[in-house]
Amino acid sequence: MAEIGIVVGEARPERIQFLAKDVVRVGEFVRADTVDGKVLYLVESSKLESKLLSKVGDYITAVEAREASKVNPRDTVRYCTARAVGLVEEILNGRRVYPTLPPDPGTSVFLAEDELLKRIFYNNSKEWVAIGKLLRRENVTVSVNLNKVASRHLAILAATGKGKSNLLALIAKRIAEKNGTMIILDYHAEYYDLKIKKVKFVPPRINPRYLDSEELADMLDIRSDATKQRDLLRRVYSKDVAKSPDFWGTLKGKLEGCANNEDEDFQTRATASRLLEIIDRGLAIKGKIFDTEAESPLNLIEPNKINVLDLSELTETQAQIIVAHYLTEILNDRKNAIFKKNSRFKSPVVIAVEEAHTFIPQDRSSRCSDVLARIAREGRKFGVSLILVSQRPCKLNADVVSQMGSFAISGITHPRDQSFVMEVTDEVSTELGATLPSLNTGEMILAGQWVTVPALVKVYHVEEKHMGRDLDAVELWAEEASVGRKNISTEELIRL
Amino acid sequence: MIIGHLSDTHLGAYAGKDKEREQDYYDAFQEAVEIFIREHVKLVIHSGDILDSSKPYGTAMRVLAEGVKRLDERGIRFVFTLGEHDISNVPSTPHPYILDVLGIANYVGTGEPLVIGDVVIAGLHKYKKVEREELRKKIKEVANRAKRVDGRRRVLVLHQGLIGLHEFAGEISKDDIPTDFDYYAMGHIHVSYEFRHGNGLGSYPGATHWVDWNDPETSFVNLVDLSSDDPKINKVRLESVRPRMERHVRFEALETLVRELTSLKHKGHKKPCLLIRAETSRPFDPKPFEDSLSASYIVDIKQVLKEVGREVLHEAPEMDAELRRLAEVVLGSSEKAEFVLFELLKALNDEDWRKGALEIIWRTFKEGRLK
Repeated sequence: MAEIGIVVGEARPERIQFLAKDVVRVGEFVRADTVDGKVLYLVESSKLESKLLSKVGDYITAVEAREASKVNPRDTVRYCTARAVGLVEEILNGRRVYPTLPPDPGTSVFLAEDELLKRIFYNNSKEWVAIGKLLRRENVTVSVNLNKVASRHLAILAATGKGKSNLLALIAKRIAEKNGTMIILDYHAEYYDLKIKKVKFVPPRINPRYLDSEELADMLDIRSDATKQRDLLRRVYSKDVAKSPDFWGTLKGKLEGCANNEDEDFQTRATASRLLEIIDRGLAIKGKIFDTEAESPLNLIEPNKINVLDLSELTETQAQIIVAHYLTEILNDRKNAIFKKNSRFKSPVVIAVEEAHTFIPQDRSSRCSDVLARIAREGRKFGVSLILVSQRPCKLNADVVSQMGSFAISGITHPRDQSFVMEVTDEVSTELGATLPSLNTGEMILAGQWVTVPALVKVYHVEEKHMGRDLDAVELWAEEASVGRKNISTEELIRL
Repeated sequence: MIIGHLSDTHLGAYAGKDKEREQDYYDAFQEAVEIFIREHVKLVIHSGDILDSSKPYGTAMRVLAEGVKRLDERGIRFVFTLGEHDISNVPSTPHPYILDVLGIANYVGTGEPLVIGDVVIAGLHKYKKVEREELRKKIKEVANRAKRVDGRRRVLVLHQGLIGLHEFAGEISKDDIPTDFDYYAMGHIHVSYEFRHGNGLGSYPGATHWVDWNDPETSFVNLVDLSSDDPKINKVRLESVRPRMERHVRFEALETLVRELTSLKHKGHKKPCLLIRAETSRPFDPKPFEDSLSASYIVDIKQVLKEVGREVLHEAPEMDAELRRLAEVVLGSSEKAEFVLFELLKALNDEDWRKGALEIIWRTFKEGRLK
């Protein structure tokens, strides 16, 4: 293999600089010898500079400098920095060991061979699944460790349109292939047409008996500033209502009693009538969500399936309440499983949270942030893991994100999001972070425990997932306008 | 000679949605088959919309195959054409055609005349309204071909609406149909209807079971006597059809109505379908009412909001009305919405839309219509 560059300048064990003979792209893997042995490096920045052209101040000089630069190959400098990924020998054994010394100045830098990269990135043992190709080496398959996803949490942080939901769908598909249990909290009805095997669409259901009066008020769309209504609901929503066989009947009966009670003041009676209206309206519109007979929401969720929980018809608070109840039940169930008690989920459960900033916001607490934080902290022990998906990382609760063991990152443009990403994952350096906005759809930085070494990866496209793209409005309009005027005749439709 | 004629059986309707109601369509078809066997007809003509869906569930196909097999075992030929429900919107073999492949029935929708005994049968599959010209041409061709075949009686089988007979479903007028036939076996319209045409007689037997609430409550199949020169139709009523009731009520009176209805005794063999339109000032929870009625009815309660006059949506809204409502909201007035939807949009859909649309906008502006 031919040398592609020479180590120059100040080299450190963890980062080297080299001058390259030809173009070397960011994301490329190179290797160089040190006294510790061969070290694999990931190219983090690649600069191209003409000394002559960089100092010119006027057009005419620039024209002359261009000519001079053309005839003088020394003038074009290709300057790269690369970060040590680890000793090649150790990586091949599945360990990350950094060199203790940098390569000597003047050491040759080589492109890492495809064969070597294949051995590093492709693993066909059963906990590893293929997820894409190396961005700079289309013939090197990258696999990730699903066991790490199912225990150490994963964050998918990427701008809209960069392939977040595609990656999540791919992971879901892989988990389904392994008979895993997964729950996708689908906040924007993005997965309703997911066509992978073993997918189950779960409508949200909640037993109102298990809600406290504030939660019940939220589920019934009572405004948060309607304190009188909420106070009255708290007053009438007693234990005997929750235990009554006819939950709504008893609750409404109490309110009716209140509305017709001459001893109550006018205000209270009016509030009671208004509450009755709200309850009826709520039941007429959202009646399906409430199930006064449901033992536990868990019964709807099936083990060894990909369960898509459609939260799209709920408000933010309602979605949070439902999520809080579901996740608490799941965590408790898994605790039971670990302590060998009766449980529904005998094996680990992966929970994917779409639009995670809605459920664990940075600046305030939500109805479900406690349980999500608890799963992030202790889920590993009980086999409950999170996949957080978000396009606004800096709006996520930093404590929860810091528990994430693995990352997939792409197309983060906002400086605050970028610095947040670099804060929470030490493997994305400032140099690499600078390339984040320039990544195309499906191109992602994978880092953390689910990959052998961090890498720029082109994630496979999941055919089974259609949504998430922008609608082709022009085409759809044209289609609708031509309904009934399709060129295909009835005769052609009948194939005998 | 007597032939049996039925149409619009819609086998497989409500499949996967309501078991009882799904069975209604099978019952009606099976009853029709039994009538034809009992009356010793020579052949049975089905005028299309055999299935409710062009991608039917297995049960619908099974019921169809069993019925046709029973007829075949008694030497009664099953002859059919296809309605729009039988034809899928991707080019493919329509499911009923399998019966023809198996040799237990004959598809006559191609226009090729078929001779059974001394009866010549010719037909066409359903043509869409936009294919009207082609349909006219084809019918003439079919008539000419049928004329050249020897036979004592001629029957034309079509799945089309006649203009003037039904508001929406018309594709051709009676004048487009040549008068060379003795019997015109029609399908598509769910109402039983007879008409004279030339020296012959035409008839829609109607659906074998009502499909929506606008269809008539009673259903028939036809026994057509072709032995004399003057054909005669004997309509036989199907007994298996599910009865239905519709009630309008104000919310205040709903409870009384429910009590009244639950105490009613039904003579029939089937629970009636019950549609209640309840006028109310605010939405209510229909479940308790439905629960107390469900023992003796298949019940559907629709809520009509009094002050707005709109229905609470339990099913997909009417798209045209919704489009109009949205257009009104966006454009600010009903005149503008009407102009855009009924005049401008139509022009924009035409081939020469630039000219047409500009003309309309200019004219409207000049008239000062939309200030």
